[in-house]
Amino acid sequence: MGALQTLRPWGFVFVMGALFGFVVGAVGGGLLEERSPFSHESAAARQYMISLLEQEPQSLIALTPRSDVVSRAMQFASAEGTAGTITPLSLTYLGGKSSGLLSVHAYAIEVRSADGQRQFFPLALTLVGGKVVRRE
Amino acid sequence: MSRARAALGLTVFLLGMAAGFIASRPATPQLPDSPWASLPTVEEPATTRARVAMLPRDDARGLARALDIQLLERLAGAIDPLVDVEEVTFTGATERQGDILSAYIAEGKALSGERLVVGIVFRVRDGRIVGVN
Repeated sequence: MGALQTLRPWGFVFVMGALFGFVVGAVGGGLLEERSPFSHESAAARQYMISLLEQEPQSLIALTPRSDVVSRAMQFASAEGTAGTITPLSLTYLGGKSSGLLSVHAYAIEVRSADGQRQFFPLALTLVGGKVVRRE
Repeated sequence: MSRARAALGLTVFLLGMAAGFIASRPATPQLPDSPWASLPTVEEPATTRARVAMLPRDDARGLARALDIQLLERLAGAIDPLVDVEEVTFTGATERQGDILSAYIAEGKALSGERLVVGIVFRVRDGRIVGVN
């Protein structure tokens, strides 16, 4: 009981320090990320690109904002229709930037189509809160 | 005695601060491994550097002289919905069989006043811009 009484003020000091550290970390980290000229490649963006090239509609749907059942059915139908028509050759991250919850990530994709032609084209993804809201 | 207590208090506070700081960092999800190779990056093409500099300068006449109408239409689509481009940052470029893809992030305001970022990727061949996404 005596030991507990002795430790209580130090526990209070520790908790105050922890709260201060948490606020500094959360606010400072967010500001640093926002002011950084470049952002790191996002795991969600990379996963989206892999799912897109591997034609996995289930993963793509999971990485996009919730849509209606018909839109999702169209994504499945589209994936079935194009299955096996392209062979991905390379996937290159060209960089990105974040501004608050919004982030943009650009990729260069190289694929070989079913008729053997090579195609090399870019794709920019816009993510809000880890979900892909725009792809062009 | 009081000096020792103050030092101990400061140490406990700093330890708590370190613990709080660590707890504030969200667990970063690991990047999934890409099954495909990544192409090497190349330098920013001079032609795209000169063209994108016109966007934050609001140099519509310069852009009209530098790009044909099809490329301007594609560029308009790429920066949509920005109406006021404040900054354009080069993020990276790569090359394959003579085609360079050069990526930029444009930052500015939409008509609603909302701050947004959009991606622009130029395709450069033989030193000329031949496409915009």
